[in-house]
Amino acid sequence: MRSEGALPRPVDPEAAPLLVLVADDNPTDRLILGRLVERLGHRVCLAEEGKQAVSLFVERQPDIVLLDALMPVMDGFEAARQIKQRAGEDLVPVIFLTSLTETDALVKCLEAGGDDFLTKPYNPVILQAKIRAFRRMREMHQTLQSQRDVIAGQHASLVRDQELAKIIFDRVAHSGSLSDNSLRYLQSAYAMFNGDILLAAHRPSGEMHLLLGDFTGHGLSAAIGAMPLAEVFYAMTSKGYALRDILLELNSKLATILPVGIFCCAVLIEVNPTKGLVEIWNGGLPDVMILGRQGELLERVTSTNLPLGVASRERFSPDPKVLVMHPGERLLCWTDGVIETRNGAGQLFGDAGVLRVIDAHKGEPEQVFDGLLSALSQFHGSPEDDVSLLQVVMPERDHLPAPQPQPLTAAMDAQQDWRLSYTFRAQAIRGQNPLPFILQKLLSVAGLRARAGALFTVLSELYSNALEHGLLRLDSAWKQDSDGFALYYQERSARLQALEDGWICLTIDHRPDVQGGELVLTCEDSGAGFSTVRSAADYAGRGLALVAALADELAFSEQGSRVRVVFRWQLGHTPEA
Amino acid sequence: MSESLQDVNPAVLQALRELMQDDYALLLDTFQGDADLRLRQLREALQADDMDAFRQAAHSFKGSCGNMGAAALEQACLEAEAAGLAGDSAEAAKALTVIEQAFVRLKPLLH
Amino acid sequence: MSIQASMSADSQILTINVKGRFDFGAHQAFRSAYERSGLTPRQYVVDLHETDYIDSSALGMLLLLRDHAGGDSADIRIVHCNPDVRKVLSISNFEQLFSIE
Repeated sequence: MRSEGALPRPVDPEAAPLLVLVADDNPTDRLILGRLVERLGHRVCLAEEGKQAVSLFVERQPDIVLLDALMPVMDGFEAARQIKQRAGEDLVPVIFLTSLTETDALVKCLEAGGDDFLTKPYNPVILQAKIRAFRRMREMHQTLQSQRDVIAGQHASLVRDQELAKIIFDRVAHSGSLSDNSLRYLQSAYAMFNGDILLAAHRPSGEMHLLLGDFTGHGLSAAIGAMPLAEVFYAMTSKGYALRDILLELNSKLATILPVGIFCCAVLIEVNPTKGLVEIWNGGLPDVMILGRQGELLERVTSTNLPLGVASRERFSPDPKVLVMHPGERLLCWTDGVIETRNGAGQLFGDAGVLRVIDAHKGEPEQVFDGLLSALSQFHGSPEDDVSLLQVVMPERDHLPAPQPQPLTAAMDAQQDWRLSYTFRAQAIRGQNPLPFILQKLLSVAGLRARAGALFTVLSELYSNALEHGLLRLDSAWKQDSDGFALYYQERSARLQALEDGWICLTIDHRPDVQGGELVLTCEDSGAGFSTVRSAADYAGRGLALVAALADELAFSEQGSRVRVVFRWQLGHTPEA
Repeated sequence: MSESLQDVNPAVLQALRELMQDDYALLLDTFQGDADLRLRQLREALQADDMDAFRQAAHSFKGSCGNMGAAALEQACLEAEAAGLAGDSAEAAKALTVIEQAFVRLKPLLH
Repeated sequence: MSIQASMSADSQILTINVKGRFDFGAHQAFRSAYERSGLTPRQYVVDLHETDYIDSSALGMLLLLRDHAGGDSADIRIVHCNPDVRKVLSISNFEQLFSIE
């Protein structure tokens, strides 16, 4: 030991004692070094040669190893190698004790995994400095390791959470009527992580509602808004609400729950094959395109609305554009991934890219969807994973799917002996659609549930007939061509907002009998009715032909401002099935 | 050159006494025992003309002499180690003689 | 991407310059540009003349700025958009919320 290295303060006040393994075949040196280490406040275990050092290392797991280089049985070089191997990714500093001075021998120490040297005779101050330095290094390493483990653990649990969330998301985002024959769509497996959502559902009266949405941002925050969106969409559609009502509710729900800065660009569509109409509302997505039977571009519906969840109720415009769509015509829409796809040179696929594809498939519109996909992947160089794409082909009228008959359950309908009457005045008519509420009441009669679709259609027709012709005095003759259609619905919206007077009265009378029951619906309005001169044209124009076909009886009175419809139903018999 | 070195550095011994406390006597005994062993190993190696064994014994002995503050003996061991490394048995024999003389001088000083 | 904010001499107009891509990467910098304490400008100008790309998260950031500046009463001008940027803003109908020049 060196005398000039005065003994350091007995206990290192900085930290808890370490366990130090000292391996030296020389008993004098071992004794002195062991005692020096103890004097520094650490614990010691002693080995007389390399092999013993390795087994003590395994057994006691010391924090620092002091190894003599030249020892019998197993030298320090081999012992260092084995110790380092057994330590794995833990940092166990190995300090060689040596009076060797030749560079070659020192190099051999380093190659065996040695971290430092301590030369004989021992200098207590240097020993203390080295132990301190390695303690700090070891602590830093442990901190790093445990932080890494925490991060890895959190990452694993995040991945697990995301997998679960994805299952839920996929069930929500891919449920409903997406398997309908008239639809084709592409949604990437990463839809959740880019915030894309696609929903489809049928109203009780048979129209299909579609929602293609794209939430801002990525990851879970983008996905989370999909849940309330889907819930409102499905619930309101199945209750028979119109697109407008659903849009109002979606916007206000999202505006309430989403933080500022997160919103949903969306297209909402109602497809009405019976009437050959589509309603389209576009808030923030690329143009919706309608192609003719030859694949020619008929119509582009540009976004004219703020995305969902941005605007306050007052500012929000829920009025969709209404268009005629003939059987075989197709509607295409997509999220901005399509037009924002870039190639290697950074060029955008863009609108022009879409139009090129449409142009290239003139005469074979059924190829447009696939053509778009392959054009995108060629342009991008790999299949796109940030794209959602939807195609709707307007079905033939006589190929409409039959409404799902529901099994007759209750014979309790004998108690359903009642009559109710609602009169809606101007303010109520401006603000809400009363039909879903009325329909719910009707469906409390189990025997009528099988005819829910027909009932809802009839109710809707009666109500809109009363509203549009009776109260708003719109002329169905306008609806002869597409321009007239647009005008018609524009006027409808304007006049409805300005409506100050008038009323619509719906009366429902249900009487059970031995075989089933009879339902009488009466719809009356404050309007003047329709003239006898044009009655035939108006009759057709008012969609009442449909009512006549669905109901068992149809009669007019008061110049047509009063319509009476009768449904009869029988136990155990589902007329529409 | 070895003559100019102290046989023992009293300051080192004092530091060791302070470090070892009650075990100081044990340390002296241990050193004594180890020194006897190394001297025997050196003699046997020289006899067998095993210069590698000679070098190893001298190397190990040198370490503990250094730690005990036995400067002259440490220097003698260093020279013996060099002779062993060079495989020069004549030099080795000379060095061993110097070691034995230094150890004889050292023994009474260790207390 | 780099973002620079400068206040007019009379402390009435805060101009925020966005250079390069205006996307999620700009989030923090864009926020700090208007959130620095003590700023109460009457008007905000978002100058996009050096912006070559804008995505929907940037739209979200603009909405956050609008919220910060008082929501419906905010006076925010978005100026010097290139045609691509302009298109993204108008698809989302942001003219209804911002004055876009």
